[in-house]
Amino acid sequence: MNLEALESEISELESVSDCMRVCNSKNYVDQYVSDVVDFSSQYGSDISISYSAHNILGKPSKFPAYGDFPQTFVMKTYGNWWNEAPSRLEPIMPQNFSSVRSQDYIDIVFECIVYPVAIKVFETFNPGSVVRIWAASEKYEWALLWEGPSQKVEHKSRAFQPNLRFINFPTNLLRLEFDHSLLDYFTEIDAVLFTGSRVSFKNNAVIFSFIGLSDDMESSENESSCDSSNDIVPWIPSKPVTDLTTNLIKRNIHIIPSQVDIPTVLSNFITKDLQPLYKEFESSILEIENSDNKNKMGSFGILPDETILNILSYLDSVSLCQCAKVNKHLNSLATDPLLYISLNLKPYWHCISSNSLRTVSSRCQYLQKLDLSWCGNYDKIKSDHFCDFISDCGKSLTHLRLDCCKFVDDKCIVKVSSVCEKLRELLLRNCNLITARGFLSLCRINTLERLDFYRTRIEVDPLVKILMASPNLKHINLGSCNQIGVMDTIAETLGSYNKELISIDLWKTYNLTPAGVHALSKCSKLQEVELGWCLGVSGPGNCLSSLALGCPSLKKFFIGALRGILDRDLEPFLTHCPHLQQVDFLGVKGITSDICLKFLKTFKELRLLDLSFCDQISEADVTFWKEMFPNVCIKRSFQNDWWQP
Amino acid sequence: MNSLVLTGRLLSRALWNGISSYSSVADPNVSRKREPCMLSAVCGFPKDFAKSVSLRGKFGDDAWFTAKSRTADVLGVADGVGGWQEYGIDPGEFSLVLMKTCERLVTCGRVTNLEPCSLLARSYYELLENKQSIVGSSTACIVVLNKETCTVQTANIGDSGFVVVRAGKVVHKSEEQQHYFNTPFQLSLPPPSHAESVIRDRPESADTSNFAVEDGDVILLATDGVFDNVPDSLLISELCRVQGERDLVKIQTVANTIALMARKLAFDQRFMSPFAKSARENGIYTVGGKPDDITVLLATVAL
Repeated sequence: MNLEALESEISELESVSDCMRVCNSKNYVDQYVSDVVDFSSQYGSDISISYSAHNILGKPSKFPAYGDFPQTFVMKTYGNWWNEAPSRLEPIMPQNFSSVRSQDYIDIVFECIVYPVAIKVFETFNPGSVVRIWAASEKYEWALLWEGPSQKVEHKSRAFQPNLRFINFPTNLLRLEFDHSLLDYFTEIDAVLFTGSRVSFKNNAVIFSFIGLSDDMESSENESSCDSSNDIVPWIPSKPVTDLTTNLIKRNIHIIPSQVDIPTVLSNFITKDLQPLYKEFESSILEIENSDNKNKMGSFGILPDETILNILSYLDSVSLCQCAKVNKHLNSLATDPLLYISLNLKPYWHCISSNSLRTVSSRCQYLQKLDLSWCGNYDKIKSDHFCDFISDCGKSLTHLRLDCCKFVDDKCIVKVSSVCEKLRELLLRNCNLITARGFLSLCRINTLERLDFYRTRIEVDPLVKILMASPNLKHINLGSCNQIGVMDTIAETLGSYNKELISIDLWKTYNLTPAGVHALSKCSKLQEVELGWCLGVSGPGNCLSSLALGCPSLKKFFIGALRGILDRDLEPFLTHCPHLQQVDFLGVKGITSDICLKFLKTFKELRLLDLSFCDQISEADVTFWKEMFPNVCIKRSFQNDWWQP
Repeated sequence: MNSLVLTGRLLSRALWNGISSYSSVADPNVSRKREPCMLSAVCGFPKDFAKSVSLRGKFGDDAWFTAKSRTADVLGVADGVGGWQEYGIDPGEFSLVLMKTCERLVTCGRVTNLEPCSLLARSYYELLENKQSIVGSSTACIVVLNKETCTVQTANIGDSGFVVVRAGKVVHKSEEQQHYFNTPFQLSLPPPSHAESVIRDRPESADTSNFAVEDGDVILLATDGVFDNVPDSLLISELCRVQGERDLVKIQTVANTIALMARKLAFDQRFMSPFAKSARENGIYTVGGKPDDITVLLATVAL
């Protein structure tokens, strides 16, 4: 592109932005969230309006106030604590993780469909965890508007407005992704303001991409050009040709001297030199032909296939697919089923569809671990196609992660339970299409070790049958399962059939009573117990002491918001559970500084102690303890006059 | 002839103008098909100005709210039970939070069932969902105008209450709910150490009613600070003054009058107040008003 063209385009661009400034009021729309269509986790429960995802709707209700307010959207985790707990998940195919990781997302809808110009995220508590913003087209193709690492920022509310990339389609569906790993405590999102333009940038797309506003467009152009060149230009082996050239140079025949008798030299060359040269040339051609197959990959070809496979096994899925395009040999290596024993597609959720499943299914005969979390929503994966994939590739599956996969219905689960006989891990967070029939079929599998049913509609009967069939069960998450009528029945089943249990999460299950906790104490290997917001346990009787006696290896013990718990209920832990590392007493207003100090002194391994909203513990004590016990992270949240607008 | 043409033209112009001005007057009335609503005003006084924090939505330990959703107009008052002061608990917090939560539930637009009893129950259970635990007890009264059916639904727990006046007569009135004299029904969240000894009534035990309203009906929601001090006859004669009133200023004036009246009578030691009468019926000989927080929420129905 010459300079003049560039100049003219820049001036054109300027005139475009001028015109936008002029018709600002007419073409630009400011709007707040009108609906939440999907999210991965929320602190509140579905029957409540406190700390739940729908609080992101409408105008900011608290901003610019800073604090722990129930009127905002809060997610379930913060920091690294959940990755350090006994229930942590083993990463599948970690090479697929992007440098910017995320644990949660929320999909929000706005009234008007517009071209994104600016997005403001109102963060009213522990800001800094927004890492990606996506926009969906009408056909639910996702484009990245912004990406950046999570930040450690000041503890005050902020309206976060990242610089957006240009996209050339209008949208009203956005996804925010969050990375909580750097957070001190829960982040809270009050509202999202979306500014968009009614006018298309389509005609000016070239300009935007030219001046580098759109990385996406450039990269896609590069890719397409690479592809086409691959098809047309044949691959030429380089080594033999250089050999030939060096020979020519050695014989000094590549340079024609300036003043020579050309006919004599030529005749000399023909009679003397041509013959051996021809022979050499012929032999080198032969050599090329013979070694053609092996040497197509250059010096890489010297390596045995096993070694190349081993090298390829370090590559992420995208790189593998690119390798498969290089040539036939690399293609056969890069699509080798041995490279597809573990497959993590979660980082690519935005581009995974039924087709992608079909493509990889031929490579996945030995597939053991599959992470398909977040993938296939908005009808991108049809449940039938998932069933086909499981029939083809599910035989040796041991780990199956389907968190937030809305396409998973009864059919899928029935298929999984009939094909995957060796399944050990099944994560079904937020899969709310599955009914009793689907869950009931799971009791055919008897190798299950980990189950995650967070926010599913599982009921008592199917769950009891699953538990009875799974003697090796180690981890179970039943958080926010509000269709479970009597949690005590579940606890009793766990106590008598699942003695191997290591972790249990009963977050916000309101109908668990002290009797249930008693029953749980029979699982003597328990290391992690989450009873946060199990309000039925508020008057605990002596159930906590039996838990302490029954589960001596307890490492994580969360009893947030169990208001009725008193010091004497916690005393037994001091003597019986020496390995406590993470303790949450949020809102347990009955306990005093006494017991907290004893906890801090007794438990040498203690790392996390949440004392938020413990009314009887003074701020001064907490400040003092923070200095006395620097190894322990003591949390203290606050909300000042939260009812104020 | 010329004049005829002229008069004809003038006449037609006058007619035309008349029609056009008529239509410009009529148009908004046609297009602004006003939906039923309640026009409300609030007034009140804390018992003790010195101790009370001034905050929108509360008068001492009393609290109130008004809220609108797409389908309903909602009014509510609550009276925090004072006994908690001895335990170092602010009695006004519980009632205020209860009312503010009701307001949020109405305005958030996600609660489809705006039946006052379930609204009260949801608000009560929502208090348990807050990380900051709220302790105390409160009476409450909620009035919901359903815009589609033009009916009013009410829920009342304890001795706050409402009166509906039409054409100088009381057409509906809440029943006072008392366990015994001066101990009303109440919603409570006691601190763990007092769980057994506290009167706790379930939100479902609220007294409910459901009736049709007419245009111009006057609805008064008030706490016991009003009903215990102002005799019914006086109250009704005041309420009649805003029958069918659409002017918010006039509604406000009457609300102010009632509140002032209650305030004055409450501190009148020789006045035979309704409270004193009721006390005598229960064998307690007393005279004079009952000093208390006062909240008056006055509304007229515009259909």
